[in-house]
Amino acid sequence: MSLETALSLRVEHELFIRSFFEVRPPDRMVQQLSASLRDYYAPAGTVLYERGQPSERLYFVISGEVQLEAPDSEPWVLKDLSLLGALDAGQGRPYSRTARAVSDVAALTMAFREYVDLMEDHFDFTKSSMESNARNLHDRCLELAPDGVFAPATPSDATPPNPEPLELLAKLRVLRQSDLCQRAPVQALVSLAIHGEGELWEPGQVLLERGAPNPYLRLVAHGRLEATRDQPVVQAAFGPGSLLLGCSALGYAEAQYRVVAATPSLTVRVLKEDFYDVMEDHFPLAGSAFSYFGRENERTRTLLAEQARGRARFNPG
Amino acid sequence: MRRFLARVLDIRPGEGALVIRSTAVLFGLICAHTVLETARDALFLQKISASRLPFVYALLAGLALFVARFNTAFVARFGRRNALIFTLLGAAYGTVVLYRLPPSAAVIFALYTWSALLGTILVAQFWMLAGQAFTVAQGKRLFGPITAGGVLGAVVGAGSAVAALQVMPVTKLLLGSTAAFLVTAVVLTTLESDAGETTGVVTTVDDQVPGFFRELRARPYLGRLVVLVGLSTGAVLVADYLFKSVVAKSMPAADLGAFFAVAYAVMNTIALVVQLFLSQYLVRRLGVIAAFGILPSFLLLGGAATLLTNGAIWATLLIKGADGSLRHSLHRIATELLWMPLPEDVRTRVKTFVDTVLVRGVQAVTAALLLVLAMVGADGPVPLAVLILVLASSWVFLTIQLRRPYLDLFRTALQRPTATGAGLLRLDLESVEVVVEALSSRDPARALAAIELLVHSKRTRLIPALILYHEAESVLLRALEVIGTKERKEWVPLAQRLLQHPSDAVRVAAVRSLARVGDGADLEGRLYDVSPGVRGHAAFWVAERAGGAPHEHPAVQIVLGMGGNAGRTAQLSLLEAMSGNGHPGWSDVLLELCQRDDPQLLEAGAKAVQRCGDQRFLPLMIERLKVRQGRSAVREAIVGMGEVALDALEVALDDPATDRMVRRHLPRTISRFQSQRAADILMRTLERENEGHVRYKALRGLGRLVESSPVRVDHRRVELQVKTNLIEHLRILSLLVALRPALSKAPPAAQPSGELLIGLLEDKRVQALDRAFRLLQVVHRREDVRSTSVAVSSSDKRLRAQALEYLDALTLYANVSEIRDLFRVVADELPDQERVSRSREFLPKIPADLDEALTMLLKDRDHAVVGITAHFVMDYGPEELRLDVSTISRDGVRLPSLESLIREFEARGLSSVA
Repeated sequence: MSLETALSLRVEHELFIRSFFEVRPPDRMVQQLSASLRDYYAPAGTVLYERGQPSERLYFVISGEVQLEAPDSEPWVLKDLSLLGALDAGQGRPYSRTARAVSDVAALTMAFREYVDLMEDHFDFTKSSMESNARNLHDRCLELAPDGVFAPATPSDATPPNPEPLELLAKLRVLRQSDLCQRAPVQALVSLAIHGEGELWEPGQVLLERGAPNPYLRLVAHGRLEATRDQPVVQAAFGPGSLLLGCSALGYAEAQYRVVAATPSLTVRVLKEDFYDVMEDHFPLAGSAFSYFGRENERTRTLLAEQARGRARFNPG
Repeated sequence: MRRFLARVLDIRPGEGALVIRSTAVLFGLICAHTVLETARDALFLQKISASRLPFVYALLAGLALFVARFNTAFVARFGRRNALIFTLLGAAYGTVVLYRLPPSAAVIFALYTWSALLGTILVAQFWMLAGQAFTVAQGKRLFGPITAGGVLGAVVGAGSAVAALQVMPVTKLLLGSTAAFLVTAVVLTTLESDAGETTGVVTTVDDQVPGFFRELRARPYLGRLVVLVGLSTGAVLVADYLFKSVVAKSMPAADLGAFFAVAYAVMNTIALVVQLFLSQYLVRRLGVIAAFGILPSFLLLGGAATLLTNGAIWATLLIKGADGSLRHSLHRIATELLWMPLPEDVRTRVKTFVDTVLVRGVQAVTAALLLVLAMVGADGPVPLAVLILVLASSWVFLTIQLRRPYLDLFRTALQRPTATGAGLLRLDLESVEVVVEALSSRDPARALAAIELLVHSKRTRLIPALILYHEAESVLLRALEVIGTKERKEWVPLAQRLLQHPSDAVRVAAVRSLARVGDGADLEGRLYDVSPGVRGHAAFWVAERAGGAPHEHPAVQIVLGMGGNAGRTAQLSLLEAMSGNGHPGWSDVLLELCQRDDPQLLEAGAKAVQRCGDQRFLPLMIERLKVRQGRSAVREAIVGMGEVALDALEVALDDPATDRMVRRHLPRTISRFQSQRAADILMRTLERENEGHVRYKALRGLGRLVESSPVRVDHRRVELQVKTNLIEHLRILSLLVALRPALSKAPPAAQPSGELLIGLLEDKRVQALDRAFRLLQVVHRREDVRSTSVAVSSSDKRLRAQALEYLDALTLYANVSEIRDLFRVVADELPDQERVSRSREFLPKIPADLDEALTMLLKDRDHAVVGITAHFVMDYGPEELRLDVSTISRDGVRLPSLESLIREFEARGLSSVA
């Protein structure tokens, strides 16, 4: 390859990297990504990776169409400016779908491990990306309104929660069992639990009013909390193990909701500032959050696909 | 005994069989060669003379070319193991043939040549086989015992020769050598064959010569290594010649055989002692490079002694003794280890060429020189000693120079692409076309990407003003920011057009850009714009133009007096204008806005504070550190206030009453000062701070500081912290080793707390190691220690071995010597149990069982560890420990993590143990 061609290629890489992310990446991160990403070309029909293979690589699709296939499941179609492999790599599992090029695909690829290192090095960017991802995911979930926006609530047992103040180990258990922190390191959860606080709610008590600022993340330990909003109308319930208001809480979009305790409930609240400060020192906590997004993303895609199938059946024309 | 041997020889599970067989092979072939060597030296000096040796060397050099070509193809065809077997069989056959021929001068000449060739080929083939079978880290541990086998072979060979010569003539030794070759070939068949695995580097000498020079040009380390091999070859040849010529002159011919047998026996015995008890220790203690420099140092000493004593036999014995006892022991190991870091294909290509052609070529040149000296009568001890001094001193000098290229090899192997990045982009015509095309893309993301790329490449003049016709708001905003400068004029009319844009943000940006370059552009009119944001900006510029105290200007007063959302928008806009163009004159306005207890105003105000530099804002800014949004601007603002601000930060850091959410961000703020004082404060924090997360922030701050500025750090103090963290890592590991088996046997009720406990300890263990590496990075600021820390945890055995060797070299001259040993224990490939066992000298106590581990954990300084352990003990642990739980407190205060447990305890009516 001539020097001129190599330089043009690098310019193309940088242009792509800068336009790929919704949040502007720092210049140094762009340079580091540029050094790590490798060109990848797949003619139509090529399998980029098979279901069951270790999810070690990410693919940033520059152009083309890729279909993600799994048995007994609708295929997902991803196009330009998509990222393949992150869903599985983020959850530490093998690829759950086979990626096949539907058209000629031009992509850039890198090792997932290197990508995580870069994200850790540029934490402010990662945090902004996380918020942006959460907001976008929540916006997509709104298409499932009124009752598919959030995952179904886990039922809670009927006994009222212990009125005694929560001590460290109890808070730790709540955090550990929550959707958001399933893959978080214990030390990070200890740091959160030390400053987290338990909150008791009586039935009918309002946790959040629409429009009110909310500096906390709340994890449900016991009971049932109900959230509503207008435009679109949403009705959702949250039980033990759930992050109250899901992705909207991380995307700073929860002001659109009103939350009321439906039964005697117990939550553990953590300042968002604390959450991100702990994440900066224990980066695998970010991995746990991205893993949570991944599961929500899968749930949403599956439901949207079912919804589309249902509409197609109802309106075959 | 077995454990003692395992520790001394450091042979790990799974390595024993390979080591024993390799040792046996080397023993056999060296034994055989030593016997052959004894016979050839005696016969040569009896029948011919030492002065004919140069002819032998010259002939060997020529033959080496042919043999090298044959050897490479041979090894590629049959694999390393099989090639060596065939060579051994060939050696046996050839030796028998020579034995059966009458011992004429020609035959003895051929015998000498034959044995010298065999010595080169067999040893080269053996080490090629070993180089493939072992990693660098294994080589450091195992080449010692393996080479000891070779030295023992030499001792046994020489000893056998001595014994045999009592009862038989010298020529019979050839039969003994033949037998040893055959037995060795048989032993070698027990090693796994690598036939078919040799990488496709099938080259002939015709290919090797140009390839060789290509590699030398591409790899400076390789060039130095080759020169060193050449120097060492020349030096030992001259030493050998000196020794033999002095001995031949001093002794009757009939006694030469016995003399050489005894001399070699003694030398090889010393070599064995060196090999068994010193080599590994010296390589580990001094490092590979220094170990390589020991032999030339002795030659230097011997050469000086020979010169000063005019060739006394004891001096030449010193030289030859050093050569004989070190060359095939310590020096051999060090040489092989110096080759190991090179990629395997390079080693395969180059090493054979070096070991055969180059070595023989150097010998031939040296031999020619010796011949010339002999012809002019200058081959006495003194000239030869001078020659040895010159060669040995060059050897020592180049060895010292080898350290940096040696480390560079590991750096290159370990470095991750993300570590450095691709560097600043330099645009040529073709790439500029690509960027300019992107600028005109309708996709705002692509157009913005092009703008950012040009900003980063400092090529903003390539952004045409026509970009201000773009449809997307985001592109217009960024473009106005970037091209709206005084140096350019063409954008002004297009920006004026944007004063009528439907988007408030675009109109604000247009006002800002135009006002900044002095374009009046109807600023007064903008005071009545429908958008409060535009009005805020306009108020700034109108007041700025008017001069006087901004706080008293009517336009500013109006903005300050506005209420509701419109008021906040206008005030935010005013602050934004101040952050871009403000100065100390605006302090009063800024102070009023920041004191309004509105987080948004405070955040926007932080950027404006940077411009004002007014110290009245310092307490406000320090307090604002607790909020992530805008923290970077707040930090810049604080730094802009100078030493007074650093004083305040230091006081806040030392004050335990400081809000924890502020305190945790103070270290990184301090690091932004980029000064020696900042480094000193952070170092003190690292050593004295009680809160672990604040200490960690101080470490990260210090790391950033040393990376970006030439501050001085006391290496010893930092290395003490490294030591502390490595010991902590091993201490936690010792607890985990005791705990893990218990969890698998724990009842279901104890599983959750048990898993939490082990999870917590695992995280703490990893963090302790991470801190140790970060601290090491502070000491070695120019090295990529992060890549090494990643490699240490890699599943790739060779990468881990390279990381270990690199760490070893890096910490060779550490002020705190223990950290080298600690890193070796931490990073080496060992089962955890063994790792803990090797930590004994560093850990005050290692728990023998679960009970001891739990007892130690109940006394841990981290009360979260104590709390979780206490729950686990209640669920699973021994009765005595359950009773102890209630007595746990810190300074007489019961730990919050144990409250519910103690309540349960008391509810059961259990009393505490005093």
